Amino acid sequence: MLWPHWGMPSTRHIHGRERNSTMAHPRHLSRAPITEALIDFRVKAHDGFQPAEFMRLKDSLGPRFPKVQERRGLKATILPQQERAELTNLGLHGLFFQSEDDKTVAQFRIDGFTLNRLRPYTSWDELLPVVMELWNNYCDVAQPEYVARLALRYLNRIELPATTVDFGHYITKAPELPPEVPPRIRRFVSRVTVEDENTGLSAHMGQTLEQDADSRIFALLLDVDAFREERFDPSDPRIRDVLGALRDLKNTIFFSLITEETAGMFE
Amino acid sequence: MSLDADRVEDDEVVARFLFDRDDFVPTTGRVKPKPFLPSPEDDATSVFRTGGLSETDTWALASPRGMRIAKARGTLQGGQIRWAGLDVVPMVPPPRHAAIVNWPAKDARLSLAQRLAELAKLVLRPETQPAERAP
Amino acid sequence: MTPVLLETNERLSIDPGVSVEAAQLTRQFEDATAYSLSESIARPRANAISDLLQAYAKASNPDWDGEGANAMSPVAVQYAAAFLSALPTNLPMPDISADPDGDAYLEWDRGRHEVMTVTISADGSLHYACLSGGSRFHGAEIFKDRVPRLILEGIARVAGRRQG
Repeated sequence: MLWPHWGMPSTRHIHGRERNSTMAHPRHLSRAPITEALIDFRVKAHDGFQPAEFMRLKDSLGPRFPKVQERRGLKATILPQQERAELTNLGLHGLFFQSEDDKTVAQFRIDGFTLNRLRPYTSWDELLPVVMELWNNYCDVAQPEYVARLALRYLNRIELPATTVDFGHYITKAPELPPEVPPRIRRFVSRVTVEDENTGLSAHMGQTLEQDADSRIFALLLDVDAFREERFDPSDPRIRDVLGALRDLKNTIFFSLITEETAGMFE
Repeated sequence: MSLDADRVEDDEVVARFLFDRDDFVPTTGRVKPKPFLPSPEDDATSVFRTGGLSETDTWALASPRGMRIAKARGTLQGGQIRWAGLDVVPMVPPPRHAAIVNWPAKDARLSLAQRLAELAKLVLRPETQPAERAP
Repeated sequence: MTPVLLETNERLSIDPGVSVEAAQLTRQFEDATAYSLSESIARPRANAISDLLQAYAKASNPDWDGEGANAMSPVAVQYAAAFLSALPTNLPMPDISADPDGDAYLEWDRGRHEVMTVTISADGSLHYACLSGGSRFHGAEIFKDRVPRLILEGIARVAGRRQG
């Protein structure tokens, strides 16, 4: 599978048709194809911290997050020649606080804090204050030694007609096949990690074409995971700025991956 | 009630005892399909003929499996089993034991198990029974 | 043979120097948790893998049900994990157990008249049956790397597709 050179808009001739793979210009999409947004803080826990202590938040978070679930680790040792498995309960790993409609989940874990927002996505302006408030709650209880990684991950799902042959109508970096190869693509997976040495920000960019239960459509999954690996004091005010920078990077990458035609589908 | 040694009548009730909590749905009175699947040992599904028995005597038919006791039973009539395309025949010992037989190939038997589950009625063991001990 | 050490619920730790079989199983579990921390993808899949492993632990000995059931094979577990990973991300995960033949037994159950069942054997064969309203169908396929179309349609019919 051949990929076009990264970074430059281009006009290409594919199977005798001209294709403009220019990226979409960034703007607000009122019906953005976001299926899940994750804002993630990875930490170094302080010695002796017990995840059960997160139960202290039950009363204060209860009105917005009434459902609480324990998250446990399970170790499985499979011994194929002996044809048996041994399962070991590793104990409590964290507590998940869920909103009544299950659309927002606050993960309080020994290794960090994550806020998940499922479809329908609201907005960054609505989400960020909630993230920072819950992060403060996390720090009050867990008192982590430091933050090791900040990340913003957005999963997008775009449904395309199953008759699609030229994915270049929809994404700017579609797979290109040699002319000798049968042209009909059934599935593809791509995952590229990039780094900006100037800003210290990195990102995983994933594109997956998967089958859907509805035979009339393909599902194109765009997964943008922007992150920064750096030690921060948990109360460092730069954390908010870094999250903003990650959001900008995430948006740049997302709009660079889709065409104007695709963006128009979600306005 | 005397049981015909050769035939389970169409209007006769048979019970499939259920030992796994995941095999039935108490809130909706349903039995799930899987417990009706046959054993690979004899390609048959073990059931018991419960006609004429009291509840106590009916539950007594369900031998414990190790530390597990039957939590519920799914009941069907002989005619329902035959309507589904199978048969149910006496198979003693133990007393009152019968078996659902004539199972076809695997994918078809999954479909038949779904059909039996559609037809079956769920009877829960009374909570006054001794609680199950943990294995 | 070096045992494979796996942790589900987000974390995977794999013992180095594993066998080919275990490596394949490892890859499938890694695929299943590629969207780590995601509530819409990873958690349902991690829960499903966890259920699969627990089903295997419960059914790994002959006569595990007291009625002559066959033991579940680790190869059937491997195929089942691959099947779960191949399900489109907008379909719900099934309830998972072992059936008397020792196959992985996957079921989407939405009521007395809405059930989709798929079994997965140690030779990679899939057997399925769908009951939806007044209609039924059943069949058999060999699992390669994609979930067969009819099975997807049965699951969607019974359990519904999540929108996006």
